Amino acid sequence: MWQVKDLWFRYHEDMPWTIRGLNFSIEEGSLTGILGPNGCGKTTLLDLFSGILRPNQGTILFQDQPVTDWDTRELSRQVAMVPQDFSIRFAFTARQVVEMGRFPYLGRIKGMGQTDHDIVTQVMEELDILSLSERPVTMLSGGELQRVAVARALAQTPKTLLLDEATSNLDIFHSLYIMSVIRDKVETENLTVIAAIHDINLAAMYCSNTVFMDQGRVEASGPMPALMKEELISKIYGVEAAVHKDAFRQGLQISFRLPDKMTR
Amino acid sequence: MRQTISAVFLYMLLLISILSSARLGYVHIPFHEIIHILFSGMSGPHDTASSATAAIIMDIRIPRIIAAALVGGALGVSGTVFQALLLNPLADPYTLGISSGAAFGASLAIVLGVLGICLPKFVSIPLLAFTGAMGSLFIVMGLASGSKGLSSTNLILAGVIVSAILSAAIGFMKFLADEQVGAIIFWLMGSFSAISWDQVLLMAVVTGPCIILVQLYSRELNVVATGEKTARSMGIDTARLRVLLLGICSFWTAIAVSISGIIGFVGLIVPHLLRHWAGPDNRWLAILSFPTGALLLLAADTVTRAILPAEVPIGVLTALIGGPFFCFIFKRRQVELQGGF
Repeated sequence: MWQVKDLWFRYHEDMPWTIRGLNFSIEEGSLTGILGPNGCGKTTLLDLFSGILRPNQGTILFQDQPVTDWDTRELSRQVAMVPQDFSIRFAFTARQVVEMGRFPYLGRIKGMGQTDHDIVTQVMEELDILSLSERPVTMLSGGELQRVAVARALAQTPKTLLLDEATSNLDIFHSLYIMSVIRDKVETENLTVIAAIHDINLAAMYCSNTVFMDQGRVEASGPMPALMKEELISKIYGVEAAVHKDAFRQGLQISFRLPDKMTR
Repeated sequence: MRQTISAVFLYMLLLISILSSARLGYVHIPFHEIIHILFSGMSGPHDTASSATAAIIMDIRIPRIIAAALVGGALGVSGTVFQALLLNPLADPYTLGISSGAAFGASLAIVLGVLGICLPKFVSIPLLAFTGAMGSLFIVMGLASGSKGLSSTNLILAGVIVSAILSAAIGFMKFLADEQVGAIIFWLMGSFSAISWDQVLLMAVVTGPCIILVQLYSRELNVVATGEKTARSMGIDTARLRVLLLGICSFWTAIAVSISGIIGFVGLIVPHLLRHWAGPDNRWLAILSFPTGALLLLAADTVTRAILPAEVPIGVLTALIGGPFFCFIFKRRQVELQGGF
């Protein structure tokens, strides 16, 4: 569904390359985690996927057509995005915010139809935020607000969902909750998810594939459990890692510590 | 529902206010006579009513009243659009340096008049005010645009910088203007006292298209509130939208400022007041902020024209009443919405 071909990007001619020659592809119906240390280019890569940034060299193909060639409105019906810090300073109600997700389907004059309202109700139900419908988003907690943000993106009825560290600022309950809802969508509706994630263990729990990035390059990529290797993670993050079995599910988790010479 | 009722109510109230404020003034004119003059004024030259009364109504009061309403509406809608677009509760034509640009252009026109260069004032003031406003908008947008497009914080910062430079330049104009300095000061403080039908007509012609365009883009304005990246991921070209809407509203403001001088706080207060009453949905705010701004400015102008013993410049009056009032609603909203607005 997505093919990244020899992708290069930098923010300015005088600046070093942020993305240095990426090549990989993403299958439909997969949940791919983009992992890597701070500043490795995860957010930039997602912005290139969503068409917010344009590559300097190479292309990203979405359904065999370069992202930059897609009509932005048509693309926004296919690809939705949840940013890390979703904050709204105006006191829109939660439902009004989710309704904004239908924007790519509305005409300049024509308002929301019955189908649109049904979709909004359904995604709010899926994220268990119907009870917050009339609450101003300025009054919601971080976890509630992020569920509204995910609902808004799902209201776009996308084929691909981009998550930019969408759960980084949340407590464990809300992180697991949101990731579970999203994985259900992947399994039942064949949604494709590309998620920049900081937490390797969260990625290990939910992702079917991973792309490890370091300094703008792909360090390793492939199905998740195979990539949970101590040497690889030590090398990328500069920490000691120990892999062990997940106590609750099939799969692996990792424990970390600073290398010996830095241990306090 | 609440919004529909508010809209109907506000537009009716505006119509009533326009008619009834025509009654107020130094010369007492009964209501039925005003209606009579208005209708005969529309159907042909004044014949029945005494021509003096007709002249007061048709040549002095009505143009002034309509101008005040149209300018107030323009400032109200512009303020709403600026705040929604820049996600900043302090954004209005002032903070972006647009009013200062218009003021600089107008003072330049007055000074050039003093020096004996230039066109007659009724042409040169609007023309240069408009040029000044658009000029400063372009400079502010140029300063604010970086590699990542126009950021709203940068826009406000650039607006403050440009305003500071322009106000020094206006100071210099005052110095140059010598005996004419009174004209500049009067203009800087705002006034509707010498409005002609030509000016009203100009303002009216501009108002229609501007308000329709703003209304057509009001759904985009809502989506912009979700943030730059989210809005762009929904297919909105945010940079283009900013240029377009800032352009429309700056143009509208510049025309308003060129006929009335600088009038503060209307553009700032109207959106705050309405969000409190009707919620943050810009599709309604755009419709409601026009009559609200119009009513506020018409009321202020009627106070200074007909109720106060001597005419206070309208800009001074709106700042003196509007400033503290703005402080009050701003504080209350901060408490209510925990930092939202």
